[in-house]
Order: sequence, then C-alpha cells, then structure tokens
Amino acid sequence: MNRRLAWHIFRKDTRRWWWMIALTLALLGRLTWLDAGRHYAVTGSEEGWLYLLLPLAWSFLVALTVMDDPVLGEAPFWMTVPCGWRPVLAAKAMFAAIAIHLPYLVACAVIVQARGLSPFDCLPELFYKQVALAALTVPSLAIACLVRSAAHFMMIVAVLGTVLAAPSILPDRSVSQDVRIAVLMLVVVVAGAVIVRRQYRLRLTPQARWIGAAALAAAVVIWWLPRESFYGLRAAVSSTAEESLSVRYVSGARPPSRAPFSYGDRRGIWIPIEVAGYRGQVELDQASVVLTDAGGHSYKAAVRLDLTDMDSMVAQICCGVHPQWQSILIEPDLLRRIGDETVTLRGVALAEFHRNSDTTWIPVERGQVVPDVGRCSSDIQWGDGNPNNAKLHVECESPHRLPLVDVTVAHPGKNREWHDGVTGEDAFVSYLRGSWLSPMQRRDTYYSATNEEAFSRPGGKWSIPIDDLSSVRIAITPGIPEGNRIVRYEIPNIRLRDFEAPR
Amino acid sequence: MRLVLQIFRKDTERLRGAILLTLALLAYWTFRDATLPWGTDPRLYDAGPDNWLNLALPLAWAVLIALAIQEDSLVGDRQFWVALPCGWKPLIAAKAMFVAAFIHLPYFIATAIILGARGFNPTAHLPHLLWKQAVLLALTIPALGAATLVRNVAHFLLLAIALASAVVLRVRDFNLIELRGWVWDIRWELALIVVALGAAAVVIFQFIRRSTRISRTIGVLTAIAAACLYSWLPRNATAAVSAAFSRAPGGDVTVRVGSETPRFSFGTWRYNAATVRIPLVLDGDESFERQADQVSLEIVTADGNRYNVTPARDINPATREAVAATLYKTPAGGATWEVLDFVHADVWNRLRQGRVTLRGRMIVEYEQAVGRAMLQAEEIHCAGNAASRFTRLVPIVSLGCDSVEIGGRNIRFSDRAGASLQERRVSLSHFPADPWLSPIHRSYAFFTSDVSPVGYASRGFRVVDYELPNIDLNQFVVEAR
Repeated sequence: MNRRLAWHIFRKDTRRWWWMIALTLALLGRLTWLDAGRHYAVTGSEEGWLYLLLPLAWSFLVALTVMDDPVLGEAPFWMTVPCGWRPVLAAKAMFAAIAIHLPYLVACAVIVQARGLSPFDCLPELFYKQVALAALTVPSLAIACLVRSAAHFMMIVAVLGTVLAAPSILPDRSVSQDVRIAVLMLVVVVAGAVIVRRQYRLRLTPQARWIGAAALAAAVVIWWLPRESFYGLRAAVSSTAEESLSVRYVSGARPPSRAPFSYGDRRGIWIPIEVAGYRGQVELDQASVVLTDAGGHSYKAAVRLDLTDMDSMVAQICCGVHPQWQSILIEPDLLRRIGDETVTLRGVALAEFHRNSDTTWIPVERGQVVPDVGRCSSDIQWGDGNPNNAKLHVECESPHRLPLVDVTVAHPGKNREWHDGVTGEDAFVSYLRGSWLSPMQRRDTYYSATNEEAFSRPGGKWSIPIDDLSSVRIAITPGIPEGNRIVRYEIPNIRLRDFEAPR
Repeated sequence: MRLVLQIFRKDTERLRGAILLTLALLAYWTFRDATLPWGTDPRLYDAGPDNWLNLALPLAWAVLIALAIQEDSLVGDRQFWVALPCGWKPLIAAKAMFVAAFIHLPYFIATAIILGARGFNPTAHLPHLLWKQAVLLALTIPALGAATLVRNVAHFLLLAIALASAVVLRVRDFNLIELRGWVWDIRWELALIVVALGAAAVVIFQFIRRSTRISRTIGVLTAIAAACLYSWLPRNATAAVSAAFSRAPGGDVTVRVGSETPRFSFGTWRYNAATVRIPLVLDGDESFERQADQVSLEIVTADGNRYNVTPARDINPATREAVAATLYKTPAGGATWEVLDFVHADVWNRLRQGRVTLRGRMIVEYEQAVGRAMLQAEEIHCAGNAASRFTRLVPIVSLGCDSVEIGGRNIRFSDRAGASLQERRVSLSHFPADPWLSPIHRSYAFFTSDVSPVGYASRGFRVVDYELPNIDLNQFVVEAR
C-alpha cells in the first residue's frame, strides 16, 4: 500500500471538509462540557438534542468523505491511476479515526477526569466506547459505499432509525440488554467492515447491498427479540459457581401495601417468593411463567416491562429482596375462568447474584468515592417553597458498570430510615436515556419530602420531613455482581384468588 | 397549466421512491399516534418511536423538498426553462403543487384520521387541522428556501445540520424538561415567522431572478434577524405582542395589596437571605379565571435607588441575580402572590431598612371554565387508571386526557386544589420529546384518589402595569435566616 497516497487523500478530505469537522468538534465540545458537569442520570434537553445531532453529523461527515471519491458507478478514479483501492480505503479510515474517534476518546477522558476519576483506571471502558462509536462510523462508511447520493444516504438513515427505534425496549437496561447490544454491535460492525472492504476491492454493488440487507435483517431480529432470549447467552458468558439455589413460595408474607396493585382493568396477583441457597442478594429477571390447572390446561404469561400492550396475562418478578413478589397481571375474564381451582406455577428466571459489600456512609450534600461503586453524591432540591416539592437526590456514577446499589437514608437522632434502590427497575435510573456517548454510567434516586404533619399521618412514611433533609446521612451498600444463572422454580397447588390485590 | 402538470408528473415519477418512503413513515406515525394507549403513565411506556418520528419525518420531508427542487436546480446556469417557452411561474407552481400533494395533503389526511381514531370529529376541528398545516409551513417554506440556494442535496443537508446545530447550541429552552414555559413568550414563534417570511422571499426571488448571491444574502440576513429577535426581544415586547394578538375581554385591571397570609409553612431556605410574599388582589372583571405571570419588576427605595428584579420560573440556587420575582397563584381561586426571593443578603439588608415602592408589569391570561357541556360534547377525553408503578411499590392513580383545542395546562381539578395536567414534554426515551406533529394534546396527572377534570379555555391576555407604594418588606417575610 502506498502510504504517501493515503496521506495525500486524507489531507485532501480534511482540507475539503474542515468546516464540517469544526462543526462536529464544536458539538462534541459542548456535549463534553455538559456531560462533565452533569450529576443527574437524566440528560438535559440540550444534551438530548446533541446526542441526536452529533451522531448524525458524524455519520454524514463520513458519508461526505466517502462520496468525495465515490465507489459506486464508473467514478472511482483509483481504477485508472496507479493508486489501487487500499490507499483510498486507508485514507477514509484514517479520516474517521482522526476526525471522529480520536476527539471522542479525548472527550471521554476529559469527562472522566472532570468527574473526579482517573481515565487510566478505565481504559477498557474507554476502548469499549470506541467500539460503540465504531457501530456508528463503520455502518455509515458502508452505507455511503452503497448509495449514489447524499439524499439516498439520509433517506436510509431516516428509515434505519425508524426501524431500530420501533421496538419498545429502550428503557430496558437489564444485564441481558447489554448482551443484546454487544451482539448487535458485533453484527453491525462486522457486516459494515465486510461491505466496505468488498466494495472498495471488488465494487460488486448488488452483492454488497444484499449483504447489507441481510445484516439489517439480522440486526432487526436481534433488536426485536424479547429480552429473555438473551438470558441463556448471558448466563453462559457470566456463569456462577453451582449452588443449590431454589426459589420458593413464602407463606404468610404480607402484601407490599394495601394499595391497588393492578393495572387498568387487569387484576393484580402478588405471590411472595424467596430465594434460598445464596448468602448475598439475588435479583431475578423473569423469563417465562406458565400456570397449569388440575385439568392440565396451561396458561402462558407474557413477560414484558411495557404494560401498555395489554396481554391477557403478564408476569414479572418484582420489588424487594425479602420477600420478592411473583406478580401477575391477569384479565378479569381469565381469572374468572380459572376461578377457585388450584394451579401450579412454573417459572424460569435469570438470577443475577450479588455479593454484599461494605456499607459506606456519606453526609448529605457531599460527594465521595464509594468502594466497588464509584463516586456517590447527594443534593437537596428545595423546589418552589411547597414542602411536597422538595427532594433529596442521591446519585452514583462510574465509568465501570454500576453494581446493584442499596441506598438507605437515615436520621440518626430521630431513628428514622428510608430505603430505596434495591431491585426496582427505576429505583435507580438505569436507562440509557440517550446518553450512549457518555463514558459515565449514572444512576440516581429521589426521596420526596413532606412536612412533619404529613409524615406522621398513615402512608406518610415514604417521604422525608423537610426539616430532617439537611441532617440525614446516606448509606450506600453495593452488591457486587458474581454472575448469572438460569433458575427454574415451581409453586404447586395455589389458588390465584388468595393472592389477588385489593382494588 | 399543462406545463405545470408535466413538471409535477416528471418530479413524481422521478422521486416516487422517496415519496413512497415519506408516505410510509407518515403512515407508521399515524398508526402510532392514533393507537397510543390512553391514561397510562407516559413514563412507563417507551415513547422512542413516537419521538423519533417527530424528528425523522420532518427530516425526510425536508430531503424530499430538496430533491424536488434540485430536479430543476436554480443555482448555476443549467435552468432549462430559460431557453424554453416555459418561464418560472409554471415551475414554481409545479414545485408548490408537489409539496402540497405529497407533504401537506397526506399530513392533513393523517391528522384527520388521528382525530377520528381518538374519538373526535375532524370536521368540527377543521380550524385546528388547518392550524397544524400552518405549523407545518414553518418547516416546508424554510426547507424550500434552503433548497433553492444550494447546488445539490449534499449541500442542503450540510446546511440543515449546521443550522440545527446552531439552533441547539443557541436555543436552550425550546424543549423544556419538567418546566412549564411562559405561554405568552412567543419569541420562538416570532422567529419562526420571520424565517418563513424570509424563506418565502428567497424562494420567489430565486425563481424570478435566479440571483443566487442576492438570495443567499437575504437568507443569511433572515437567519440573523431571527436569531436576534429570539435573543434580544425584551420580555415586555413579547408580552405586548401576545396581548395585542389575543386581547382579553373586559375592562382595565388594577392591582393592590391584599390581606391574606400564606397557606402553608416553608422550610428553611439554604440559599435565600429571605423570601417575601406579598398578597395581591386583582380588581376588575372577575367572571374569568385569571393567571398572572411576572413580566418585569422594579423596587424603588425611599432614597431613589432602583433595583431591577429578574422574573423567574423557578428559584435557581446557582443564580447570580440578587432578587428573583415570581407571581404565584394559590390554586382553586386563591390569592395571587408577589414572591420575592432575596438571594444576596446585602441587598436584602439594604431594602429592609425602609419602605419601598414596587413597580411591576404582569401579563394576565383570562380563562373561562368550559364546564360539563364541553366535556359531554367530548371535547376532552379522559381515562383513569387505578394503577401503580408496576416495578416500584408506589401506588398512584394516573389520569390521561386527550384534547384538541385545550392544552393540558388548561385542564385542572377542582377537588385537588386546582392542579393542572401536564403535557408530555419529558421523555425517558433516547429522543427529545415534543410531539409537535400530533393534532392531539395528550396530558396526564397522578393522583391518590379519583378526580374529575375541568377544562379552561383561554380567552386572551392583558398586560397590566401596577405600582405598590409604601411597602414595608419586613411585614411580608415568610422566612428569614
């Protein structure tokens, strides 16, 4: 390969698109500034827009440089001059690396440093972010090799975005979701790289388009597959030592509240269960639930987080460590059909094991490094003067994957405690929320405030009296992940009506 | 006319792929919007596709417009109609027909279908559907203008990305999160009107004269004018424009100090030197519900010193302002309060020494309860859910309402101290959330008991200047450190 030629083409592209590079650097600079100063899991509106605009600008920048020396049709100049395809491809790759990947690496390091952590302690995570970015730049390169014009490129981007945005899985940030994203990135990057190489080398556009279509189909299948499809893979790559783990029904446990735990016209069934055979915490992620009655009829529950798609029966394992709850939302007609018959519940779940670690106490409105977690801090939001609008905000952040974190807010003088953040999906904000470019993982939780009078009333104990807010202390207890395993359990001879939540 | 049709047919044939694609996206959006679940906690479902389509669809439309214009590019010297007996009029008519036929008409049909699917009569809401068309013009006319100024679609897209970047970096609050905006603050709308007018001028000028340099100059000047208008238009002017365009009925309003005391106690303020709440009474036409917003305020001391007070929507601990002012209305027809948050202790200590005069300007929105007649006429559709957050043990009742003319902030609950519904502007999905394409206002609220909604129709605005002389601030201190 002629390096001089590659360098020459790279310089030409840089000169030609310098202002577009400057624009992407300005956007990246602004995003870096905002991310470095953010101590909330939720991104602000400006960041939300930047997380859309910056990838769009990057992918279009890649497309512009590729279309500068088009691969399609009869335009490739390198076919008739002593150049060859390798320097051209190398120049384009170099452009993406220097104009996009390198600034992004620097930005990530700056953000990590600004958040009080060392970038050198998280080099694998920073490298992973580069791979994530490659899942944008490599497909952009590939699409640009396959289309005739920028208009076609942008139309394809709009359609691909719609196809990928369609399934309702984005808030799901479970461990299996990480597997899904990793597999998806692998497929996209490999297919993109294959297309790019073949196009530059052979220029067999119809063939390359077929490869692209096949990769897209595979990506869509991966994107749309239910999350439980990835439990097996997750358990295989992160298995834990064999222990005699069992999930069983806890008789006599009280319902979590007298509140109506139902949804719409669906009836809520709450069966207390516990996990035995492991000394730490076990988080269960439902894979399947089947109810079988005495007559041998089976009823399979849908397993989903999104309750707005009303299936006749939806199952989840929910909320808390001891006991946990096998919750089932069931259509009134179906519940009536099952009636007072006893049924056997057979469930499958992905168990995530967490070893309990030491608790770290932090004062309110201070931040400090918590071992095995990262950096945790809290702040008080006083709101508009109404005590009910004040909040205590607790946040933990780290460039590493955040473990399960238990937060206890305590007022030592008054012997009061408030708990949160154990297993609830949103106990900590665990969604990406559009911050996929951020090198930091952030989770936070809010404790609402109230006045002393409301606190004393029944049901008021959820909130912290506003006068206590500034004198509480916060305990952070991480549960260190120790692996995953698929567990199967059976609860025989139960009557669903015995567990029906009051409406 | 024959020529117009011929050019239109030619564009349609050549761009049928892109047309089909935009129609497919529109159909998908229509399906999603028409079938969005009712009365559910919007944070429980992922609004990703819907929010994405509110961005992707305009992008696809803009590209379609650029493609149609670039079919007969106006930049350069390759315009066929210059040397043919055709002229610019058929060409501009054909392009306008293209935009109308493949963007505006399908969108009109889509919005009518959505209204019908959500239980509203589209013909009864024809003005609203036409208003949505006018809103869409704020996209299509600037896209037409930009497309006539560039050499090819790649340049058009570069321009679009650059402009979008400039808007995002400059306009911080056009997609407010969990924050109620001032409805009378129409800077964004005024800037869009300027952009649309400038773009229309560019389109006409470019088709008639094909003088790209002058057209580009007009385009740049328009962008600068819009940016300046947004950045520098004073609040007083914004309020005056709102009140002029939508004047409330009734006579003059006078403001005086009332005699009420605050209804709830307040916690200790960590960052405020003091909080002062002065009860106000708004005399005048009391047949309307009135909501007041602070436009400006000046505190004048006995020795003539003047302090300009910043109107604030929420108290910001990081603020550098010495004093922040808010007009707060106690719900359920209660008093209006002039709330002054003194952030700097030295300013507070100076002002508390003697009596002061408050000179302010407020903008008052007049509202009228639409009553049960409107609810029975199905102007507002609500659905309640005896639900809990499924993954967290916090019991709540959610109530979701669909409405066409009345927004969520104008739907309140008499049995919950007048709290109003929120419209979904906050998203837990990956995308900024502003369902601007939808013809439906979707709003929601969470309660711990059943509630019944009351809709309030806006009847216009009125700017009110007031003066409160001889005020001893110490009398109205809520909490002082």
